[in-house]
This record gives sequence, C-alpha cells and structure tokens, in this order.
Amino acid sequence: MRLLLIEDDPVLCRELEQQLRQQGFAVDSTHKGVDGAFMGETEPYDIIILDLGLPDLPGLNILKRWRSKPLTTPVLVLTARGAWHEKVEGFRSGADDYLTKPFHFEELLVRLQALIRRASGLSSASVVVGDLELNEETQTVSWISDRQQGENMELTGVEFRLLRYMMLHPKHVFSASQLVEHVYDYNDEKESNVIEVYISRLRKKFGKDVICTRRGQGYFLNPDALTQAVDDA
Amino acid sequence: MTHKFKGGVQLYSLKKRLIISLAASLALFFLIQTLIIGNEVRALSEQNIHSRLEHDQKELLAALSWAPPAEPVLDPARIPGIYQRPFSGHYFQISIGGYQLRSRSLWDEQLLPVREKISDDIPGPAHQRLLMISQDFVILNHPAQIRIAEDVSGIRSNTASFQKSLLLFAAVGLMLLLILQGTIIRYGLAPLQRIRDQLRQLEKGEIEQVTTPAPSEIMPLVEEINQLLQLLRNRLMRSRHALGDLAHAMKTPIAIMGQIIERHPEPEDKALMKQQLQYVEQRIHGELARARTAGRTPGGYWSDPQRDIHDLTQMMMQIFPHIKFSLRLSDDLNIAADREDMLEVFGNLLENAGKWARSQVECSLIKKSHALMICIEDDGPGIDESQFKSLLLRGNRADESKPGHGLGLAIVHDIIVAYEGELELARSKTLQGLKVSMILPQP
Repeated sequence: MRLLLIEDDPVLCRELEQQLRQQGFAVDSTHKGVDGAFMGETEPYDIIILDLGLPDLPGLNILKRWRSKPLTTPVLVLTARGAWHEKVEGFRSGADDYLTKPFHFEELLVRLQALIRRASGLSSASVVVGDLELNEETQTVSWISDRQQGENMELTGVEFRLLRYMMLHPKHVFSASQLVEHVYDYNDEKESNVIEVYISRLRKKFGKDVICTRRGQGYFLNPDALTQAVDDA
Repeated sequence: MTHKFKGGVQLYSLKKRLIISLAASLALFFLIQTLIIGNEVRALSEQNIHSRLEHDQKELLAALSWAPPAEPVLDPARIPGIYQRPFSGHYFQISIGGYQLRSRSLWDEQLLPVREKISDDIPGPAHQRLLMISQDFVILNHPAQIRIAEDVSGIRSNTASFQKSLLLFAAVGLMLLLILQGTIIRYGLAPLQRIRDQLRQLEKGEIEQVTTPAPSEIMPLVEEINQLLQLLRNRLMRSRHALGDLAHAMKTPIAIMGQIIERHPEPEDKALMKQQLQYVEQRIHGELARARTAGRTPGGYWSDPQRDIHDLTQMMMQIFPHIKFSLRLSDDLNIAADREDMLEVFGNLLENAGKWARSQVECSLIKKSHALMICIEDDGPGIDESQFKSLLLRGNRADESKPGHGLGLAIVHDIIVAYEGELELARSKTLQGLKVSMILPQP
C-alpha cells in the first residue's frame, strides 16, 4: 500500500512515518503542502493522510485541487482545530474521513484500513479472499476453512504488502512495475525482477495457481484458487 | 403598546405618551377658551342692556312731572312705545311720595322690590327672567325710586347656545387636531418604527446591520449599535482564529508526545503519562470549544441548516457504515444561531450516537413558533440515569474506552446554555438508547 503523508510538523511526521512503515505501508512524506499536492497528483498512492493546517498551502485547497482533477484516492484529513464546521468543510472538499489531533495511532490505523477496504469495495471488517484471511495487525494470513482454522502463516514485510495489495484487488491484472509502485515507497531501491521473486515466494506458500501470470500484461490473484488451495495443501 | 422589560420595568411608548399629553393640553385649552368667550359675550350683552336701561331711566325721569298734592304723572309722549305693550319684556315702576307708577307693559304685575342697585336674574311677569336696575332720587324733598327692568332670558339662551356651538366647534377642532397630530407623530416616529423592525430582523439573523436612515437625534445610537455589532463579529472571528491557531499549536505537540510515550518501556509510567496527557488534551479541547462558542449574538444566522445537517449525516454514514442515520427536519428552517455553534452541537451528538449505536440513529429538528426542538437518539446501550447530571459537567466521561462521549455532551450542553436553551438526557422510548433533547429559544 503506497501511502502519502502530508504533515507540516517534522517530528510528528517522522513518528507517524515510522509507525506506518511498521504496519506495512510504503510511506512517502512531506512537510510542504506544495510538494504534497504535486506528489499526490503524480504518484499512484492508495491512500493519503493530509493535515489541514499546513503553513504554505491550506490542506483544503490541496484537496479541492485533487478532487477537481479528478483524483479519487481516499484521503484522511488530520485537523488540530477540532471544530466541526472545519470537518464538514473538509468533507465537502472531498475528504473521506477525519481525525482530530491528538489521536491514538491505533485509531489512525483502524481508520486507514477501513478506508482502504472501502475503496476496494469491501464491506467486511477484514480482508478475506476465498478461504484466506489477511490479518493486518499481525501482518499474517490464516485459512478460515474447517481443517486448518487458526493456523497463522508469517509473512515478510514485502510479502505482506504485495499480498495485501493483490487481495484488495482480486482478479485485477497488475504489471510488475505497477506492483512495485504500490509496494515500495519513492526512495526505495527498486529492481525490476524483485516482484518476480516475491510472486514466486507467495506461490510457494499458497499454491501455484493463486497468482496467475498473463504473458506481456502482468499478474493477477485468482480467488477460485484460494478456495481450492485447501485441497492442495 | 407597553412591553414588560426583562427586569419587570414597565416600558412606555413614546407615541402613546405624545398623543396623550397633546390631547390633554388641547382639550384644556379649548375648554378654557370656550368658557372665557361665553362669559365675555354674556357680559358684553348685559353691559349693553345696562346702558340702555340707564338711558331709559333718564328719559323716564325727564317725562315725570309732579306738583304735590296732585298725583305725579308721566308724559306718555316721552315714554318709549315698548313700555306700553303688555309683557313686552321692558318694564318700569316708579315709587314716589307713596304713589306707584307702573309701565303699561307690567299689566297687573309688580316688579319685586330690591335693595341692590343692579340685580340680575330676578323673576318677572310671564315667567320672564329680568335684569333690573333701581335708583333712588329725592324729588321735592320726597324719596323716589325708579326701577327699570328688561327680560334677559332670550339673551341667556342665546349665549348658552352660542357657548354650546362654540364647544361643539372646539370638540370637532380637537378631534381633527388629534388626528393630524397622530399622523404627524406617526410620521415623525416612523424612523423609530423602522429601526425597531430592523432590530427584530437583526435578532432573527435576517440582516447583519441596521441600514435604515435615522433622524440625527438617534443616528448616533444606530451607528453605535452597528459599530458594536461589527466589533462583536470581528472579535468573535479574531478569537476563533486565535483559538484555532492555539489548538493547532498545542495539539500537534500533544500528538507527538503521545506517539513518543508509546515507545516508553515502563508500562506503569506509560499508563500514567498517557492518562495525564489525555487529561491535558481533554481540558484543552473542552476549553477551546467553550471559548469558540458565539452564543446568542444579534445577527447570528444559520443560513442553510438542511444542507449542513445532511452533509454531516452523510459524513457519519461514511465513518459508521453499519449504522443507519435517519433525519427529520422541518421544511422551512431558518435558525437564529451561529452556524459554527450549531455544527458543533450536531457534530458532537451525531458522532457520539454513531459511536454507541448498534444500527440506528434518529435525528429530528423541528421549528416551533418561538423555539427549536432538537432530538437525537440511538439504539446503543444508553447511559445510566444516575450519570446524567455529572455527564453534563465539563470533561466527565461515561466510558473511557470510546473517546469523547462525555466531553462532547458537556461541550454541547455549554453551547445550549449560551443560547439560554435547555438540554435533557433520557432513555429513548423508541430506540432504547440515549436520547438527547434540546430546546433552543428563537426570537
């Protein structure tokens, strides 16, 4: 999940960035509204955290600019003022959720996950494809079929990010470079074959047919394979 | 029109006062005038009669000839004819040396003997009222008295009817003048009425300034009102800006501290620090919310409550997708209250309801003639009745696990109190959860 964090306070920005990374987000952050506005328009983010109280460019203006493009990425608005008219204003400008400072990081995380799920068209409280359930808190997966219930499988950071992204968009074909953009942040060293390596690792864990290759186009997650995978395992 | 002022003092109407005092002074003037003119007219005519009687008396004296012991005689050629016609209203009677000479007009009657030189309103023949003068002479060493009288009842009734018509004229004049004065006063006070209307509009929030032209006497008052309104508005805007900046400046560091505390290894210290930080945060949030409240200020107007509440509910449905928010709003809502204050009320209450409800939240906003009835209820667990009172005090929370419930309620309560309204907590009859009902007075 590529996440853009626009927050003018450098300390809070750093803190949030660190914790969000730990939670498996590929985070780009900036203190400047102008930069943030540009980054939001040019990079394919999955979610954006926007502070409304930016000194150089008001957050609401950035939001209005994005929505007029139109940019449909879900945006969670941070506000320190905590006044309701501001929240309504934010909502009218196109915010999907708001959080008043100070907040607990857990609450931010819950809201972010809910927004991501909502953006993917999922209404359930957790990410489930076929019989496979993704546990975002522990960054593990488990089968919810009868036989192997409760067995958690550990994932590495990149595996988790890749699997989450594909599980949130099942049947959707992504090229390797597209996947790279959503799994790594802007500053990461990106190698072209790195996705291939992780795809094959995931295939080893869940079965060959779970992630299919479409020649010349890319990869997609096959939900049917995740139901059948029970028999294979 | 009299109005009870808030302190119980009776207010007077300028118009009523002017009309009453004008009517009283005009009526008094006309009454005195009528009396004086009436009396003057009567006195004038009596004076006329008087001098004529004196003149006739002298004639009589000249017509009298007496050579005792013979009877005195009057030369009939020298007596005016009017004294010869019976009951003509003109009479004389001469007493001399034991003889009585009476005018023919008296017929068998006698003139009353009187001592006064001039006597008014004495009974005469044929029910006439007479003005009589009597004068004593000494003729040939004998005392003589000539009494001469004239009927004045005609003049009396003439004067009375003259006075009556004068009074009638005065009454009509008074009425006409009062109508004229009323119109003049109404016209003169029209600017005041316009200002009064505008002040009422101002209270309802329909206008922001008193714009009607006013006479120079009260223009300073109007200007002062406008200036104060502007001052109030500017001050509110400035303080809201400053409070927003303060909130921003305080809450970001608190957020950072919260993040850092999370990394603290000692669980006991961590809990303690978190608690303290939360306390500081709540206090700041609550106090800033209170300070932001505009309250009942003239010109405060919520222009589009339907749109705002609708958007707010949309927002809530996005944040709490499993909960159904139903709205019931009066059609023509124009609310005399500050928009930011009202959004604070609805935002806090709807968010609380959303946090606690299982599946349903109902919000209604009904405009009555002089009040706004607001009701928000949910199907959550509700709150124990014993906690109702303490919840409305600042900063008390019903449940620490879900943030903001008690604080939000206390903020809402403070705002409602600032509008001289009422807030009541109860258990919802239909949904079984918490029911918050509020009454907001409207001008």
